[in-house]
Amino acid sequence: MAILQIILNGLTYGALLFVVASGFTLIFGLARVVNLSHGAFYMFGGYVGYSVCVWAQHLMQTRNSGLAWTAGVLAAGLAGALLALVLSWLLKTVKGELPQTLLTLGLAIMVGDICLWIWGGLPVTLAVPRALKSPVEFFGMMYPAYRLFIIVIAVAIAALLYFLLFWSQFGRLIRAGVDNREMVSALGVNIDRLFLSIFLLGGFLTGIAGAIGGSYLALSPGTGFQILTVALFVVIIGGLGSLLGSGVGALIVGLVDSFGRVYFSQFAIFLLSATVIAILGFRAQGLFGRKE
Amino acid sequence: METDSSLLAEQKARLGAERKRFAALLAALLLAAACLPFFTSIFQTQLLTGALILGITAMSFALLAGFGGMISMAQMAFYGMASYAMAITSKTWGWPPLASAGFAVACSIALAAVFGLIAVRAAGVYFLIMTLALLQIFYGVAMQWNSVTGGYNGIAGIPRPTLFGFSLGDPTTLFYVALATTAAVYLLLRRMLHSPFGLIVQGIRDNPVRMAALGVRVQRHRWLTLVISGAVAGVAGVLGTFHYGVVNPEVAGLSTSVLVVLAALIGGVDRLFTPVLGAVVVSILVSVVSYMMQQLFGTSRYWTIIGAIFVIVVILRESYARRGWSVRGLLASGRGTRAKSLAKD
Repeated sequence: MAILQIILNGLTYGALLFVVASGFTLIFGLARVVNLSHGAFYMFGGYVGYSVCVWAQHLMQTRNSGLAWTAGVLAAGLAGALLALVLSWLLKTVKGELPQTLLTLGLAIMVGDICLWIWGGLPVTLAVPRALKSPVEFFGMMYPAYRLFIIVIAVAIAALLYFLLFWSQFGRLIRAGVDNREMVSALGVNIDRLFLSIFLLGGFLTGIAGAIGGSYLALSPGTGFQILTVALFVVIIGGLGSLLGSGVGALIVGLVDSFGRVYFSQFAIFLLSATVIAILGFRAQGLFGRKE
Repeated sequence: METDSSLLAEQKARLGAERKRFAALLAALLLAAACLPFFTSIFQTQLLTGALILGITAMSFALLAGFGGMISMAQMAFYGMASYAMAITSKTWGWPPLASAGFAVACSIALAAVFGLIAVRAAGVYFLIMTLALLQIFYGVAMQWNSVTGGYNGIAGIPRPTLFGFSLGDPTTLFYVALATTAAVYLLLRRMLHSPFGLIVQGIRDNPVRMAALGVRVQRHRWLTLVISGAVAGVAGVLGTFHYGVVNPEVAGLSTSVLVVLAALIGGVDRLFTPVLGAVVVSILVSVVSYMMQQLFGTSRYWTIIGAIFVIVVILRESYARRGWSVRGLLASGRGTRAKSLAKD
């Protein structure tokens, strides 16, 4: 396999992982909750997106319609945000990071089982828009246009998040809230609403990632655990709560996974684990994490 | 170490007074449990054996969470390590059962020891994340390393050995082996927790900075606790291969880990023995819920209910704790080896 293709595979996977991990790291950064149901958010969003996409295609009597796909992606985002809303209600019932984290574990199990109940065990895939379906020529090789499109989406989301967090008043309040919740609250800011909006944003991002990823990696009952695994690897490498870290971490995990699959096949997971361990040995808090 | 020695003396005095009553209680409980197979069906005996295996794993969780202050999601990875080592050595390589059991536990210990070198540097939520990552790496390896682990299907038909003329394939015999192992693990851990080492571990849970200032090597003690807990989970893993006869990547899945944590939470992690009771409750619960779902809805999907129960248990535990009932587990009350806060600020 051409080296360029392996790199591109890694980059596209990394781009998807960035969208997944940014939602994870946003929620962690603010609420200090390790959302173990994150993979379930992705899976539930993807499945809802799939159903809406199929339904829209049925309404419009076409296949591979861009409109139906977009509707599916947006519905997936809303489904993710809905789960985030449920999670934020649940989290209010207990105090402390560890009990809250355990709570998300219960939610993960429930959502995973409900997905299996509704959509069954067979893998499903969203129908990619016709315009993006065919491969395009890219530096002298044919590459699926849709995968390149994922990179575009991820870069757009990264730019939006960057603007939102570092250039807007909303972002200033969020960052202040991460550092000192009580003080921001004392300054007259409704910190609960701020937290809720970050939860919804994180859930929305994870949901659309489910639909975007579900268009080229199939959705199946095991998806939730897989996605939680890679999201965790990304944020461990990049550092919890850091947006830049999740970007860099996503690229590293994407590329290592892509090379590992080609050159080591059975042992790809060892390569990934070794990378995680090497980086942790070098910097315990991750590449861009802050020391506690 | 002034305060330490006075605490130790106090603890010893309390123990001396309670020792006889404890021995009587334990003997009565064991005797009652030993009589159970005469009244239960084979299915129920197997259910209880499964509960005891889950209970040993839950004890290893409680040792870390309640006494060491480290919430670990990796217990099923240590369990799975022993199970796979047992399956591979006894089935694929044809080792004698005792040798492979010993090797399997050694494998769990080795995994915990190596993993611990990295993990004990993290605390709180970060420790939890590291342990979850280990669980997932283990799951991934078991899934992908087809030639050794059998991939998705795992390894089936693990031989059940005959020890001293008793076949472990017989459910009743296996129940007694599991019961004896549970009691032995409990007594050993209890002894350990009452030793100076155990008190130091609990001191670290309450105030690591103060313990470090007293000259205790905090990370080394946390590492040792993790290794001991890994060994205990490994013992459960060995019993698990006798009980189930198969091992597959699902041992390291999220849902099996949920059962371990649920058992420990229902029982209470501030005592050693209550997680075993919690495991019995959980095993019966799973069996009843799956039966009811089958009868009422004709479906084998019951994890939604288990997940909901898990969420409710976490919330209940918290609201009890907030009302100042000091009930850290739903079943926990009375006496027993108990994680008492040693540091009074």
